[in-house]
Amino acid sequence: MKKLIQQLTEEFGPSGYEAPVRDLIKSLIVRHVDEVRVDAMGNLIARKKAVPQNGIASRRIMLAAHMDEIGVMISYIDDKAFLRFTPIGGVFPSTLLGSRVVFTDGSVGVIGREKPDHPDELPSISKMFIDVGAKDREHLTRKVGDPATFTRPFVDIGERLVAKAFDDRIGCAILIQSILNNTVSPHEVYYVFTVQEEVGLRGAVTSAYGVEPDVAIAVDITLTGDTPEAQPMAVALGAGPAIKVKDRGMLAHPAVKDWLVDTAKRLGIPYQLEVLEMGTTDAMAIQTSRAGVAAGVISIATRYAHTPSEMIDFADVQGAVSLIDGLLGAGLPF
Amino acid sequence: MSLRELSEAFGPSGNEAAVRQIVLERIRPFVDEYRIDSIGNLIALKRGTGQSSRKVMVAAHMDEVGLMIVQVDRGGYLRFRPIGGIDPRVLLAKKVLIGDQRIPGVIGVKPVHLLDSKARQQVMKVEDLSIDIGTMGEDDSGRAVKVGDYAVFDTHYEELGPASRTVKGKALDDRAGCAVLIELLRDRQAYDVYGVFTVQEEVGLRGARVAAYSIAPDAAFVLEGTICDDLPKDKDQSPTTKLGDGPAITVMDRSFIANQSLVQLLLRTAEQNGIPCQLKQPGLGGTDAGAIHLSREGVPSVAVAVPVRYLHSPVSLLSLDDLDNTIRLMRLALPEVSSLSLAH
Amino acid sequence: MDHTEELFRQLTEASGVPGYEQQVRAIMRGYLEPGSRIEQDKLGSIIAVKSGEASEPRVMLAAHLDEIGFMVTQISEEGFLRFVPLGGWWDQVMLAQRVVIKTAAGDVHGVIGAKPPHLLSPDEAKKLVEKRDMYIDIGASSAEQARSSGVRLGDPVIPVCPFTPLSVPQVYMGKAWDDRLGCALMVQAVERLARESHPNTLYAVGTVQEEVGSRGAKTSVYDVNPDVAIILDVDIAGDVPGIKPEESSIKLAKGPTVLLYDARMIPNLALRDLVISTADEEHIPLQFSAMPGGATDGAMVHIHNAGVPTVVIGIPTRHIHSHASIIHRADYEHALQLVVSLIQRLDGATVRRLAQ
Repeated sequence: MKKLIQQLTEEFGPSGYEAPVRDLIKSLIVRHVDEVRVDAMGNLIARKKAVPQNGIASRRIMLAAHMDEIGVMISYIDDKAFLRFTPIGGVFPSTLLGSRVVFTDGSVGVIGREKPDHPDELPSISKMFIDVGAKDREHLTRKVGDPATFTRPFVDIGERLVAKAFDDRIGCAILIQSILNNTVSPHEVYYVFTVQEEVGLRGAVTSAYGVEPDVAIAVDITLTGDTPEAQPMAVALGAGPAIKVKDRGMLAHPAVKDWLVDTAKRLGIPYQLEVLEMGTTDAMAIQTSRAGVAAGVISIATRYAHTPSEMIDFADVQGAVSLIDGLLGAGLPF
Repeated sequence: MSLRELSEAFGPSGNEAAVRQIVLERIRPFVDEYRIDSIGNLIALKRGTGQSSRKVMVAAHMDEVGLMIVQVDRGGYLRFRPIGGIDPRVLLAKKVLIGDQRIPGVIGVKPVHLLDSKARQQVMKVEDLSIDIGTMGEDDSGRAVKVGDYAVFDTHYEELGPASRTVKGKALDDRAGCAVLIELLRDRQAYDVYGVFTVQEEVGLRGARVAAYSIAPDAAFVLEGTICDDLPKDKDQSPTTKLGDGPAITVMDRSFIANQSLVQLLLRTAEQNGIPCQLKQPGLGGTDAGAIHLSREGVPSVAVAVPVRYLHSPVSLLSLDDLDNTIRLMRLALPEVSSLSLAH
Repeated sequence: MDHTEELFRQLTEASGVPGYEQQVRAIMRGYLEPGSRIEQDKLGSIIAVKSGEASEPRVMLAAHLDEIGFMVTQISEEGFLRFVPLGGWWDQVMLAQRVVIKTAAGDVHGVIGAKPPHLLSPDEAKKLVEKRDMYIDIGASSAEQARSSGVRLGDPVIPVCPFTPLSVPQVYMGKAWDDRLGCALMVQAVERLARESHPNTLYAVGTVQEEVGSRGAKTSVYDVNPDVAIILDVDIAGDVPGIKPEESSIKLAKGPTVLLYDARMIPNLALRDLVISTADEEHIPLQFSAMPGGATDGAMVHIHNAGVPTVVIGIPTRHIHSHASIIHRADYEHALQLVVSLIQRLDGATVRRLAQ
């Protein structure tokens, strides 16, 4: 599974430009599902038919993970061929200095900064630029509107993994692994790989409308409180997949939350409860689709989220896969 | 061209009836059907030849930023709140028209003689401003104006100088888009075109959202008047758009990421036909496309805009060349949509 | 206590922060079930369908079940509870307030701790204590002790304030008037309309999760698919020291309000004018409300599908979004009369005209 995770995190896919990730995922799953389609927004929607089981009510379950990652877009090119840029999604200026970005064609640029007015001035994006090494404008192939994302290789440091874009390629990897595990499910399962989560859950809005599920679970990352002087939060790396109670955008459906907790207990999978003060996931948009969807979230604790070096614990990932397989394999308690 | 009439029409968000009437009179001779929906959008259908089964929505918003009267105070002055985004600094000493009777008034200002040095450095808050309609007290004003009445800036449309192609007026955001859309509805395409004159864009894309839901289009074009801040600056910073450089195409703004096929179609059409055009600086502003592209299972969308200087103020400027080029570009691009691949 | 006061007491004393509205929903069901068919959306909003003379138009009446409160996020080693707000709280009204934590094992009482003035330096005393620095003291001295009382992460926390008639007749103090007062009004409007006629079908909806973004309104309006909607909520009374008339001119006992606009909705103007003319004909005093910084369930309802003509009727309430708010019975009774009269005027032809 680590190979799969590496492939996914190293792929290019800022919000709105997820095609390379979508093509990769499609090639990995197409032979293992009953139907694959791409909707008008670009969401990849894969369906597995229900295998009826005596005495179990079949439901339509939507599992969602987002394909897009944060990035930048060229907003202006000056006379000397330096590129000004605007963020795609939540990009922290402090993590940009020294970063490298990569464009769709694989070419690379580095991020530089204007001289600060004061030595201790915090960097702001409007005072930064991308240098692609062009001698002048004539030698420049880049255009305003070109998207780019951060480039950083995947590193396996034992129990823990480091890469860019675990948010939310790790969710994609978990869904793909669940497809490949081929759990027999009495439920009709839609695996939805969404677009444009980082700019406002936009792919989830349209895919949930199209899929019309009874129950939905988003698989995404969450923050942790286990680093020095961290914002207090009762989530830690390696303590198991996190089951969301609340974040800024949603309150998990109590019955879904209990279903996740009880399944984890039944299978002996360590888990932790999560209350996230900032941020939200696709589940927020899915929950209020049409007449409402019972929704919950499985989160992977992630340090240094939205930087080019995010860190996760591999056991949490494996726990999440087992939890999903357990959920899909049995009847729902509600 | 009906830009003068459109610009001078009274149409703050939530009260667009006068604009709708003008648009309706213009388009009635050449559209096949029209209806007004429950929130006030004017939805016109120009049927296709039947060669394509697509439905394409082309939208421009009728509403402008304005004011609402919330209180008539004891002195007969009218307290108000902005409807849509207005910088309080542009309000002082401006003429306005209020309510169905279009009662004239002025946003009062304390004479400079009475301001101490501290007060001169401060921006007045909207809550501290009031409209003077020249009456002598609460009862007098109460007869002329009701709480809940809307007000808009009182600005005449004018061409700037005999040789200039630049015009001045209020509400060019988005009466410019309305003017473009009126022209486009003359053309019959292979597919059904839904020309939608939306309401309440300035307060949150509310009209476009419900119109897109009821039409369920396969693709959408949003026609706008957009930010144009091309004045000289201290530092080499990009203008959002430039006056006279042609229609501005959105790649990404705060409300949506444009469909790549539609962006490429517009850029290609402009290049092939020698029409000047520019990319709006990514990351800024938002349009009705933000609501339309998320409708139902998603709608491939793009926004094309006429650059407008000083929008959301009593006086805005645009270039008639930009307006004409926007019409030309759209006129040449729309027929291509019938055969364009929109799949990912 | 008369029937109305008993209804007020039950509803305001019920616990129901966003996402945890079960108790309020059960009370509403008890009152609405006799004359109506009851449905529920998947987020937990309750929908009572009350038939009138005609199956159409479909009139949606909405009040939200939830109140603002808190949620437990951490148990400290010393046994204190850290928490986050559910809904909008101003830090300054929270200190030293009593709360109850609804755990799976039952109610746990506590207080939001505050440093005694004896220990405050003059500088400290002038500063606002921020929510993130506050804690709930349930009397425990260790995390283990706190946990053994049944408290778990994610447990909802409810303000404590019993329903209290004040010394001035018809004036009541309580928690959660926002929007249990709207819920009460909805119950009594349905009860009135069971005895009188109305030319439409009424969908009385108790929505969930309004205080965190009108989420239940978004899903329940999808279920109801109404032709016209009336939102019932509390409004901010500005007749207290510290609120200037230009901030809010709404006064207690001067009648219900009709909304001119808020941050997320401009009401249908024809429907708004129908409220005004109805009040006029029925001799009901009416006040006007403009709320640039607030919003109601109308935000979601009025832009549902192809659009729903919507209006908001408010009842002036002092000190909303705090532990103890104050209302006047006369405003409530006038609002009830206004809503009933309005619904009785919403026949097919009238509702069709609203959409022009």
